[in-house]
Amino acid sequence: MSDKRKLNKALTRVGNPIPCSVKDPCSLLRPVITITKNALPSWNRVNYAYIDDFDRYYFMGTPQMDTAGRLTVELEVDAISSNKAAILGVKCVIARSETLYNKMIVDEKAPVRATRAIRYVPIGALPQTECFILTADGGRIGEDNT
Amino acid sequence: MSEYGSKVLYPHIPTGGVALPVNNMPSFKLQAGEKNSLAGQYKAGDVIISYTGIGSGLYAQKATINTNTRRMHQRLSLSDSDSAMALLLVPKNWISKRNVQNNDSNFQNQLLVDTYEKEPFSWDVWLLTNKPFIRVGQSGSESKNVQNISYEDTGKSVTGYPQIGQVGSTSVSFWSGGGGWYYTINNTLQNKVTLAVDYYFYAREARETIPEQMTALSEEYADASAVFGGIYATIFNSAEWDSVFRPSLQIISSLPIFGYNDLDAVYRYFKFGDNDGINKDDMKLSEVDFATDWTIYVNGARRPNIYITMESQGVEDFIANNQMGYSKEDFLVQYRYPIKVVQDVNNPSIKTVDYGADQYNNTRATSYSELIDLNYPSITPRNPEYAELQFRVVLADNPDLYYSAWCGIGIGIIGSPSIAEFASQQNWGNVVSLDDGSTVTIIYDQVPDDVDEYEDPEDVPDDDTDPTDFSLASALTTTYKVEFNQLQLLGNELWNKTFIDDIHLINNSPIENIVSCKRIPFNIPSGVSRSIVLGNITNAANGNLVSNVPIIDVGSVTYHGYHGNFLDYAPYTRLILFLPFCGFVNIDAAAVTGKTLDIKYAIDIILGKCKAMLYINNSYYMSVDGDCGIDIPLVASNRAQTESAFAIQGLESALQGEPLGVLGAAVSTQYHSSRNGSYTPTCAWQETRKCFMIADIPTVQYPSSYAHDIGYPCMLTRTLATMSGFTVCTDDIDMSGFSCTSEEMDMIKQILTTGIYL
Repeated sequence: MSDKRKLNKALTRVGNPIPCSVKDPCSLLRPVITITKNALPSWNRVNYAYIDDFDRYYFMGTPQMDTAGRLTVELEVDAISSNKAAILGVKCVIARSETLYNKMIVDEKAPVRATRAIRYVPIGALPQTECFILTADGGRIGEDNT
Repeated sequence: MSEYGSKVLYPHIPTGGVALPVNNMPSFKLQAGEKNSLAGQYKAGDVIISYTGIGSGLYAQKATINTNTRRMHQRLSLSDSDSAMALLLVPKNWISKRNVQNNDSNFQNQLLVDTYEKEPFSWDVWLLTNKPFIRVGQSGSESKNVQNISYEDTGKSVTGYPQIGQVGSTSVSFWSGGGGWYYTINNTLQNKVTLAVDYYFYAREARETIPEQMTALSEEYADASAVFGGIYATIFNSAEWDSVFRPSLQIISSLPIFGYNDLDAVYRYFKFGDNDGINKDDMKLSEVDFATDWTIYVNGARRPNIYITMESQGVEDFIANNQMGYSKEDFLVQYRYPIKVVQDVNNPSIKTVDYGADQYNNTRATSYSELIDLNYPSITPRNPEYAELQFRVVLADNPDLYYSAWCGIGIGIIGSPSIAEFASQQNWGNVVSLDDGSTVTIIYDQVPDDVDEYEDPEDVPDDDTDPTDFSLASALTTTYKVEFNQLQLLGNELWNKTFIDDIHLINNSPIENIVSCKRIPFNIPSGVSRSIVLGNITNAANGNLVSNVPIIDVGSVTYHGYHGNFLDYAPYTRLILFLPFCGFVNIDAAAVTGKTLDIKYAIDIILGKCKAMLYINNSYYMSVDGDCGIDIPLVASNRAQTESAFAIQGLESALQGEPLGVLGAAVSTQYHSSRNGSYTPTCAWQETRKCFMIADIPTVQYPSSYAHDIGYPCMLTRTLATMSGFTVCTDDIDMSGFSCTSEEMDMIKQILTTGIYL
């Protein structure tokens, strides 16, 4: 089963559309439907449905079967798949992305460890030399000092 | 078509004369394709297959052409589209340029090849037909420039058909202004292969324009040619293909790709329809539709910024559905700037083409998923009046075989070439080469979504790395560099009775004439040697005169950071510099990371001070003062004075909390040294003289699925249709246009803000 957060779910059709009855009162977002087991032979492997009249996709809950062979299933709307086109048209600020990002933006979720590392970066060195410098007054009259 | 579809194919058919009985004859067709689609795709031993029609057999024949001309124009043609023939071309030598033309009725189904090679050279031509074909002989005289054309009997000719050289005729044709050798092969079914060898004489080695004979050959043929980078190119059909980048022809075939030199696989394919020897991965790649929709943003008319965005639905579908592990990172966007002149500035009636010598060398590539940000004015075109900017999508590990068409936009340029000003918007928009279904849309005065949001401002360095020269020359004092033994000699002289008597005439003691005596940890450049003069008394001791403040270049380092992300900056990473005689100083990681730090020292030899000057990317960034000279005590009172001065200086710095003063630096940073007493340069002499930086960096542990499950920060405005993979939106989503219940909108918003897989 594809992740519920996946917009393009990988769906495998398990049968042709079948009629169902809805429990009264019927919720658009969480309808409860009743179908006959024989109409959906692979009922125990189904987890997703589309109700044409409602124009929506639904996640299926655990089916409950009665002695007459009827299956009662609670459905919950898959809001994103049911509004896929509108979602793709949304223009908004993307906070995080798997494919488009800038790693220079501070990431508060980055798993920074408590440990730190030290890197030594050599730049250069002053020469290991020395000399004595004496400065005295006088001695400059008529002299080239260089 | 085979089950593998169609695509431009360059299968490796082994050499050697063999007849291949065919049960599984592929279809071939020629169609207008991308410009230069064949250029640069051959290796020695490769073959090109061109084929028309369907036949029942496949036969191969090889011809070897020897020539002593350096350049030769080969024309291999099929006589008509119904002839069930193919041509195999197996160049022995490197062939510089190939063009295939099919839109001229005079040159229907021809493969045109230009060669440029050191003389002499030879190359093989393979002829492949579905009928056994024969050489029909030759007549006329061969040109002196074509030494011979020999044919190798495959030994597979079919009984009942004439053998090579038995039937038919060969004509010799001399083209206007040049020469040519014209050879025709007929088979008994009147299918005909024409092999024509045209050769030219060139007066110059390079940069000749239009060979006259080429012009005479056809009205639409050879309007212009150019030599660039030592490669000879011929341009066809100038009316539409006025550039070497104009379309030539693609050969499209259902013939699969075989392993190199896998003759057995080829045979089994043709004979039995056996696909086992087919390189299926290559076939899948060959099915990728590289047609790309390009959007060019031109922001500004003068020196505009140019941005390119692209989307190739075929590539992205392939990435989404392929089982071969390809991702967007395996595809690149190549772009290049071939600069040309379409009109001679000195004679507008002459139309010439002139390319920069590095035309093919300036092809650049970037990741498919990245926005291309071009700074076009950085190019310095040669005599530009018109230029093209070209781009295409390629498979990174085989860009010569899997690619979209080179698309381009023409750009009119006026003004100085070095400035490359753009005349006006209407000079843009000459979109060229969309032969594979690619599209180019030009949008003026806009930039792509958020293009500037990831752009860091550029440094503007002052390039002032040369400190100002400063002289110590003074009319009142003199500075000497003194050797140790001379200093001892001077000490003895100071207490010489004669000296004391003389000096007492003007001072109370000889010491009063010495301004300072320092031991400096550098070898100072000095001038002439002369006797040391104190006041007006000349001594026996000598010293070298010193005048300038010396500048010592310590070194530089380019620091790239460690993580390549925000963790390389404060507050996560701390950078600490150790500057000899100055101590440890903190330095802003943002100022250094990704840049070059250069350190110089200025030395005050009179006071024994030093100043470490820090340059970042050639800009003067900061300085740190230090104390490097050791006072040589002259008398007891002088010694006490020196110590007192140090103590007072240290106390003042500590009380003021001076952050970057020489002592303050040592105290306040407290990183690798601490001090309770006052600072003395004598102790600093015991420290290392190496200048280094310590990067105190955080460690991070990204899980392998971090991008897929958590994602990295993006903070760009995008339409969700343009995003892929795990995506999280900020809370501020405009959900206008949704036709669903408010509860559903809340559900959608909740998923968008916590993460959705697109």
